[in-house]
Amino acid sequence: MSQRIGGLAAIAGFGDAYGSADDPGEPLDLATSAIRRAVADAGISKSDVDGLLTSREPLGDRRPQWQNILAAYLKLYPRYSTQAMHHAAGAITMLGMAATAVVTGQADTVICVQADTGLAQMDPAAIPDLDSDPSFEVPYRPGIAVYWALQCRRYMHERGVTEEDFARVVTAHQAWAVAHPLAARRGHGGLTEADVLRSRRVSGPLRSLMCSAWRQYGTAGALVVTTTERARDLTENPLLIRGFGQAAFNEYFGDRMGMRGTHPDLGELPTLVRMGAVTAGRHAFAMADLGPRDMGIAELAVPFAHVLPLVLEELGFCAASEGPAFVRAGHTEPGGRLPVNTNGGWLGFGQAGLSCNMDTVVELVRQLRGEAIGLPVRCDTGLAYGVGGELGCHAVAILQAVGRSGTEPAS
Amino acid sequence: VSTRSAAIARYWAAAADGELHYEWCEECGLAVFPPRASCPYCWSAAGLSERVSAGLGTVYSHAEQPSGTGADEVFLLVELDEGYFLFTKAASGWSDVTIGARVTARFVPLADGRTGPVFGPVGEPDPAGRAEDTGSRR
Repeated sequence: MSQRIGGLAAIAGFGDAYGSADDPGEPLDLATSAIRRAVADAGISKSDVDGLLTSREPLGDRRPQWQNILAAYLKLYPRYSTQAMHHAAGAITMLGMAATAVVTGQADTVICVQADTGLAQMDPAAIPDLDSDPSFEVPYRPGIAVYWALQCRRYMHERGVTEEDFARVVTAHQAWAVAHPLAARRGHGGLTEADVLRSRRVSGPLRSLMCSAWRQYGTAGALVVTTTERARDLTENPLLIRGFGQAAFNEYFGDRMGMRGTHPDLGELPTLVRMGAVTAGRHAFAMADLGPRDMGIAELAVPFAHVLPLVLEELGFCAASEGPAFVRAGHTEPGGRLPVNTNGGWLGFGQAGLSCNMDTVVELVRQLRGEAIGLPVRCDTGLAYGVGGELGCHAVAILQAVGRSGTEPAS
Repeated sequence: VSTRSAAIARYWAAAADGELHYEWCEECGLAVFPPRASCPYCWSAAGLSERVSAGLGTVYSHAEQPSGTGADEVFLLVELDEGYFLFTKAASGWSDVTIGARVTARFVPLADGRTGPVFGPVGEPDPAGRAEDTGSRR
């Protein structure tokens, strides 16, 4: 069943929008700008839009049913509309939902949109509670980085990876970020491993430059999803949605430690080291009938530096335990075998609330269409991976550029 | 698990009395935590009973967080001997935490005022007694 939908839907247009000092960007207004650009890019009009998906409500506007608030704000009257509640990873999950909706005729044209305000403008004390168990974690008042630091230290313990390995992940991201005009850490210039290891300790082994940069201003991305057949009529540059997959293992960090039984992808349970990207990736690759070696580029959620080697291994870009060596060899950098996080990723481009996973998709779309803002990569097929919550939710989408008269993907 | 559930209320009431409670599922032969009305593994309600933990365990992972006012706070993930995990903190004053260290529960006032478990090394006197835990956030 799942193999049949891969490639039948496509992205016919996209738009992105960024806050600035003059206009930091309310999520509703940033989303509006991104949608307007996406609709224009696809060459359709407002009245063609009959589907609307968002992910979790933005941190900068936490009203529930935010997608309906947005629809009303834009005077859109979708016949297909909901929120992909998969923590922030829903920004990637919703691509599969949109593909399913258009292929099954629930809608003809679905807008997938996510927007948020700059994290740096928010009260940090208000953020951790959203993702922490109110009964068993909040009473201890952890900062959000504590959960990832617990994972990081356990990873070091089980696999013998080092802080130097994580510092190398940061410099590999920074090599892209310095060339991207919108990257939050562009101004840091070319960082060395020593710079990273000198930065302020945040929690456990994690230092500030190993944590995603909090963007000052908001971001938004919007995609127009329709059938591949229609997308070819609309645009020179359709991007086929070849595969998608998701997995969810916990809401709270503590839930994850209660995992028992059989999850063959994750090995022995409970585990902090095997995250779950493996499961989302397995579903997506199977649907796409493609493998890791077919990917010319990967845009991966890396909220903290130690996550990159784990995700590279789980998605099959390198062998188990080879992630740190893969990064150290420069394979993820400009000119490398597998360009990764070509806008600098969350460590370099930074994170504006929950739109971070949409920023990841936007970067993949821009690269596959040859419209990179930073350093360009020439390739036609790539993967986006999103994570949400405290290690809990994982989503993968595989996109392929084919051109108006491009050949059908192998099926 | 609702924050208002009776099982959770009983956990914190027991903690206030210096006891660490968890649940045990007879059907699965597994410890269950956090407490709830039915086993999350087999969904049986009848097989679930409340037990008192010995409060002994092993550090699974740990992460310091600078407090800004003095010594780091140290957060712990502890694997209890009964076979479940607790997200908790190191007892105030314990700084040389390592994975695999044997630990025992102590009950102290937490940052929000309620009394709850933190963990210190087995076999050593509590360095700070029942000192207030004044945890602060990043």
